[in-house]
Amino acid sequence: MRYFPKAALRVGALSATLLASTASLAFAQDKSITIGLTADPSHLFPLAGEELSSNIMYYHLYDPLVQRSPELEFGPGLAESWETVDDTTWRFNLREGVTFHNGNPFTASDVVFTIDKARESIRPGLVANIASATAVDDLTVEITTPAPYAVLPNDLAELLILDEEYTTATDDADMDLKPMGTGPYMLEEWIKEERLVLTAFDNYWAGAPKIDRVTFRPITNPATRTAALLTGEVDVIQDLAVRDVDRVKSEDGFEVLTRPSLLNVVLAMDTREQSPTIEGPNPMTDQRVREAIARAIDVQAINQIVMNGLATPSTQYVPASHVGYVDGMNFREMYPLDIEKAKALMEEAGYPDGFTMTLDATNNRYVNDAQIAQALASMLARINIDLQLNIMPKSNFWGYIRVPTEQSSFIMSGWDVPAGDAGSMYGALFYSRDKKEGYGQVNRGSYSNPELDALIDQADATPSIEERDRLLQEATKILLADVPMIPVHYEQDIYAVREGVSLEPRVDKFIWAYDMDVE
Amino acid sequence: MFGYLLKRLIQMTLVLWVVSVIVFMMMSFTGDPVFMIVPIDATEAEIAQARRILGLDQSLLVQYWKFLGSLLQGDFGQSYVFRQPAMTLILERMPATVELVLVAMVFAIAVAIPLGVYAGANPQSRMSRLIMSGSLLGISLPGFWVGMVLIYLFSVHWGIFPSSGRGDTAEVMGLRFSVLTWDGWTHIILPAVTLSLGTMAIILRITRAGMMEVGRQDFMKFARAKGATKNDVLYKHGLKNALIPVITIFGLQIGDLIAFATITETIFSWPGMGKLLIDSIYRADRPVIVVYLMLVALIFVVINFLVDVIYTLIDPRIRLK
Amino acid sequence: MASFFASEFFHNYKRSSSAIIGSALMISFAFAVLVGPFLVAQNPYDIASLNLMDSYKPPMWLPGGEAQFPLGTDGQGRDVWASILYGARISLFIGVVAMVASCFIGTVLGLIAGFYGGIVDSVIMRIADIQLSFPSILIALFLMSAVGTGVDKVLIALTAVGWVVYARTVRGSTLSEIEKEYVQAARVAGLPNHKIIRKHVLPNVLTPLIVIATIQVGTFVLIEASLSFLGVGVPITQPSLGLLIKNGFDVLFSGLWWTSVFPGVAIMMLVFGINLFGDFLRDELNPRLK
Repeated sequence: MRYFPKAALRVGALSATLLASTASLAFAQDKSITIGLTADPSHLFPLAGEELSSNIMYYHLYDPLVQRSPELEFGPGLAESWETVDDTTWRFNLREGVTFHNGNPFTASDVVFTIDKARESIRPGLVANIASATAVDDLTVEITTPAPYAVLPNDLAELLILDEEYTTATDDADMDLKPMGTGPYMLEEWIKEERLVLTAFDNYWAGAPKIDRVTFRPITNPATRTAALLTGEVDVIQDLAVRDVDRVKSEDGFEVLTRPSLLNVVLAMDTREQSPTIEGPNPMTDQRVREAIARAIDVQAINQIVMNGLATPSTQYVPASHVGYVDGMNFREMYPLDIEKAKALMEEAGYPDGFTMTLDATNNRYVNDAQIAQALASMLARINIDLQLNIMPKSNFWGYIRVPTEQSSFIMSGWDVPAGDAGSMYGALFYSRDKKEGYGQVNRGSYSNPELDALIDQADATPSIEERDRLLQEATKILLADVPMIPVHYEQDIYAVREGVSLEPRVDKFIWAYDMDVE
Repeated sequence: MFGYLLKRLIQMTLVLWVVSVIVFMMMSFTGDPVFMIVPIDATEAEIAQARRILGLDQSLLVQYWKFLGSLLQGDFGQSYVFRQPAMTLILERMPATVELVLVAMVFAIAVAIPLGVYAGANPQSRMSRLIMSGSLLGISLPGFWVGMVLIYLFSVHWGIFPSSGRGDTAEVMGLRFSVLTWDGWTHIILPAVTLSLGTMAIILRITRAGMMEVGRQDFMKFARAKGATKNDVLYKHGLKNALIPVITIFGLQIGDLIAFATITETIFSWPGMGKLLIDSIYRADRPVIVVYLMLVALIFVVINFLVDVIYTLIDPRIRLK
Repeated sequence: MASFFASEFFHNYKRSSSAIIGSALMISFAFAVLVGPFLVAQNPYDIASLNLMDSYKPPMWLPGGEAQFPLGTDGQGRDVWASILYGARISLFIGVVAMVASCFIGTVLGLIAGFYGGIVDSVIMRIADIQLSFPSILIALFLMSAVGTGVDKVLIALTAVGWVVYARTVRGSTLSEIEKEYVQAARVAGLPNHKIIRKHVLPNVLTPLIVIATIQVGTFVLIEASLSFLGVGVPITQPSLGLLIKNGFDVLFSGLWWTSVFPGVAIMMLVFGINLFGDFLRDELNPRLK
């Protein structure tokens, strides 16, 4: 602590003496940690909504049936094991002796209850691939899917189990304030926008947590967050601003931790004959123009300068760990930066003088998003594309760009696939619009390719994960050749910690104090 | 007096009603809040379900009608984002804002009145000119820039004060105060100074003007003629009269402080209702914005009313009408 | 002109150092805004001309600085000095245009309210009362959040909050003006109302507006800066001084202080200049305070 006026030290010493005389010695050895988050959670009730801060809290307070490791491997959680009974039926064997924070035992009926509750909630997507759930006995649940669905356990990693008795007796608004789960931590106090304090749940089924008390503090402004770490107010911060990395690294006693995230920043190009912001026919219906745009974008420069070297240029639409990733294929090698080639392609396609269009982008959603947009404009100017920028806050953005994209030609957004599988992304982003319920709903460029649609259909119908992988890899190859969308980079999740804090950043960004320790 | 109260009450109701209509109508221009809540790949059916749960599936007019209906029953609607009563969300954060505003006000008064009195009593001195120019500078500085520079210097560079949050608080009658702990003081000092600068400058100028005005008045001349020293007269007789205009702008200044607290709270992560407003604007959380603005309007009306009452108590020449 | 130099106003002006400093600041900003863009090589708003490789260069007197970028560059490779010149241009443009619009609308409404009275007066003044029960920054913030970013939208928001003060002042002076004999006489003589307003009332209610208008430009510059700082002001492709500070704030702790400190100093000097001069005007035009 660098700020620590002498008077405060005296007061601190005094209260410490008082505490020591009243509390047992063990108390003094309790480990605690303060974590600076980008935002206060909106909810503590997992079915009330979803955003990062809330997710972080959910996984401290509740458990899913299937647990996701920091590396995105799926393993047993509240379910000890599972097997498929037939193509569409799964049997989950639940862990014995697990209790909720109030002492209620965890049973199969809690699982069934949670699934039913989710269906009526604001997040029905959590159970979209579940047709029914039945309790076979107290510790066995059978779940059926509407069609063969190979990645059901991955989906279940996002469904957090509620206590039937408690949740029925508590109304939804109260669930947000008085959560009740089986997770490693219990809520001690939550002073909105100020701090949220969790204490260890000593009866946690996987063993009591190492850190006894975790305080989360929301510090929205990135600069203020950095300052809070440097002044010792917090021990860990989430989302260190890329420009502050060098400064924090240069300070003694602090460490910067990074890891590539799953959030792929992508540029969607309109492929309709007419595009809202382009006069005359839409040049981007031509694959050569799309390729030229891809070749004109200097992803390396964006990474080095805008992102301070803290991004990972995307090789495909999904990360290498995902089902559907084709080993050895690299978008950057297929379409490297090459202005001459890009110009030639433009000329071939009949647009030597380029054209004018508008890029829609956010200014508060992705890391340095507005700066990336400006960099894109100066890069595309080199192949005579006059890129106008329409930059807005995220509150306006999602409604503005929403399918049927009546106002957009060129959109910068991000796509995050925590489920570990390319299928959901391809189905949402590239499947022809309006052909099938639940597919193509975010196909902002109106891309349509019957061959690709067929591959996605087949992949979603097979119960075999190997077959699904093969089919989705085929789809990846088609997409990389056709370039309906340009993958730019994965952001890196950047954390900074003071020395003595051990934190292993998770792929899904969910900081989890259970895995952390502090000296 | 009764007529005055009635008039004020009607005026207040009118203000609140107009605010609610305008905010409701204007907010229909902003982003659809449903997209802030559903996942990015939500299907039409999921979006429709979310809309239904939030009550956004009806026309704006019906929504407003319902809002007004429940308002009359004391229900101010639920935040789309938090799914909690909007009023609760704001009231939870209000004490922090009130504390910040009051501390800033005290700072402003403590600095401005002595300096203003001095500058008014010695209008020609070099020091007074300096004070006046300094006060102009106070009005000319963008508050957020000052806050930023203060954080840079005091938190990061010198490490004297923390940069964000409220620090330790002590609880009195169910409300938590930062000013009751040392740690709390170290937290409140930078945001309060940042917030107080503008108000400080304005109070200073009004005090000075009041003093100069008083100096010209007849009773002062009489007092001087009776042989009292200049300073005696100024401080004993003049000060009270000079402060009357300060009270009149007090209400307006509190209003400005609450408004500028939105920015200060955002910079210093002060967990008050101003930060909630900014966040709600970013998230298109209409019910919170409506209730915030109505509440602020209410506070202003009440403060202005109190100021009017105090004014009549101090200066019997004025009657409420 | 000669009579101006001989006037008491000019005499006092010469004696007031704050008035001279204030007007000097105002004139240099006016000059910078009009001519400045021709003095710098780079147009910071022409994104195509920026080079990412030039980003975050420190001011020229620090190691790593280049004479080409006297005050350093920002994250897009924009010259901070050029950005300030262009940014001050946007800030001042917004301040002045919004002031003129507010002044015009407010004066017209104030004249109408004061001259005709009755229901028109009540309606206009009730609206003004309601507006005055909110600080202008809140109203502007709310309007901007509803209509989205853009220079035009900032102008609308500022005008919407700015007209009230003129309307009230003008109404007040109009009321006292129409009581006067020469206006009564003109009415009796059967002059049409619009002529009476234009010839007899308007010229006599304008003087107090000069001070209000001067100060208001400074206020508007600051409100616009606050809006932009909160991300609901001007678009990022045309940064005003406020937006420059915001962009700089994000990198302040990385030691890249020049991207926010210089625009902050610029805005301070601009508004300070306006306020110094406005203050002088207030004293001059309000003889009671002499």
